Amino acid sequence: MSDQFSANIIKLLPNLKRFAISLCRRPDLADDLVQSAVERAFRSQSSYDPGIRLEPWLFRILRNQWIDVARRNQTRGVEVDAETALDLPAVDGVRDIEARLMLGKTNAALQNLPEEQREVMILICLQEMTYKEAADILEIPTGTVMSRLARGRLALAEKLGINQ
Amino acid sequence: MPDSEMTDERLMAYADGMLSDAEAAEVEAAVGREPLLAARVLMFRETAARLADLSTALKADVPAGLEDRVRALAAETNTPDPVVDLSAKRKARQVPLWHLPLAACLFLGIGVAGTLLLRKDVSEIDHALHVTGLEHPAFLAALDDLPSGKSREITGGGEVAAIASFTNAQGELCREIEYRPLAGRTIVSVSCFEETSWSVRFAVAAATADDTGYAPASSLETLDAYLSASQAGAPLSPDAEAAALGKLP
Repeated sequence: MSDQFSANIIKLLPNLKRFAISLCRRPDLADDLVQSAVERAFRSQSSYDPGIRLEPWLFRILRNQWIDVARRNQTRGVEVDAETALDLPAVDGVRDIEARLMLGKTNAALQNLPEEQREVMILICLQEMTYKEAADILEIPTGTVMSRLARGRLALAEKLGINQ
Repeated sequence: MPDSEMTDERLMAYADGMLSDAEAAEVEAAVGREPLLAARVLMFRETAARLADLSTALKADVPAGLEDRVRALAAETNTPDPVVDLSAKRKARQVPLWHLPLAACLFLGIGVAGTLLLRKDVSEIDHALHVTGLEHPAFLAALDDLPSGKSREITGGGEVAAIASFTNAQGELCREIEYRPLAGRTIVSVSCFEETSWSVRFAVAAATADDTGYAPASSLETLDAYLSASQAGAPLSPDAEAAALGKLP
């Protein structure tokens, strides 16, 4: 296995962790998920086409790993208070309080969306995947990704009082 | 293009910069004409911006432990296999193979720990050797002077064949010899010269076959495992082998 491959994966650990948290909603579980996904990635290096971006390839492995875990443990139903998922630095000043409130509202609105809309929004609007990359990770058509994304953003706008 | 073709998905793709230049130009023109379309595009942009801010704020700590574990995993997978490719070596020895049922093998498991010294005086030889047939004087003689690749008949029937000589990790001279009695199993063995005498380090018994030939591949797998564990060197050339054997006391 090449050193470059493993070095690139290590650079992506923060992104992987963030995505893992969005899937399983628990930072401790997220660490385990990232580790087992990375193990699988090392084992599957020969199936990685260097022509495509590493990040979506890893995300797909991670998501499939999560689906396996969830099916085995039936932990899909674990709910975490949406507020606690936010890790914000201490604030002072009105602008910061406003910003903090807005972030809290956005996060709450996101967490309350139907799962199929939330997962496309996380991948595209938070994790910066393209529509096609998200489609590959979720194993659904690009058209489906786009319609879920559009509906999700409409719903978010409504909740946040953004004019549509 | 009629504005009815300006679907939400299309407007969103435009807002996200996912359209080709030509398509984007079309959408832009429509948006310029129709305020409702413009409002929709603005909504898509606004939601994208809010989610981008959230993304920045959602710091995900990667604990040092996780990164360390991943580095360790990477290092493990990077370690090259130190085992010598024995199948290539075996080809170099040009050992012909039987096709025998795998179940026919019996590993005698003498191994490095339980070495048996072969003494020239037959009466002192350990009784356990009798089972293997390795106590036959012809076997001992073969170790001393039978060149690899040659075989020799044993008085009373059967034959011994020398397969290869090599040095092991301890620098000892070792020889792979096959002992084929008339009746009973062929023994493939590895013996190493230890200071003053040969000691059998490994032996595996293979099934007999009706035609003469060498041991089957299945018994060789066990032998290969032993050879790699003891870090066997490459087979000696005939000259090197003759020289090494000549130097023995």
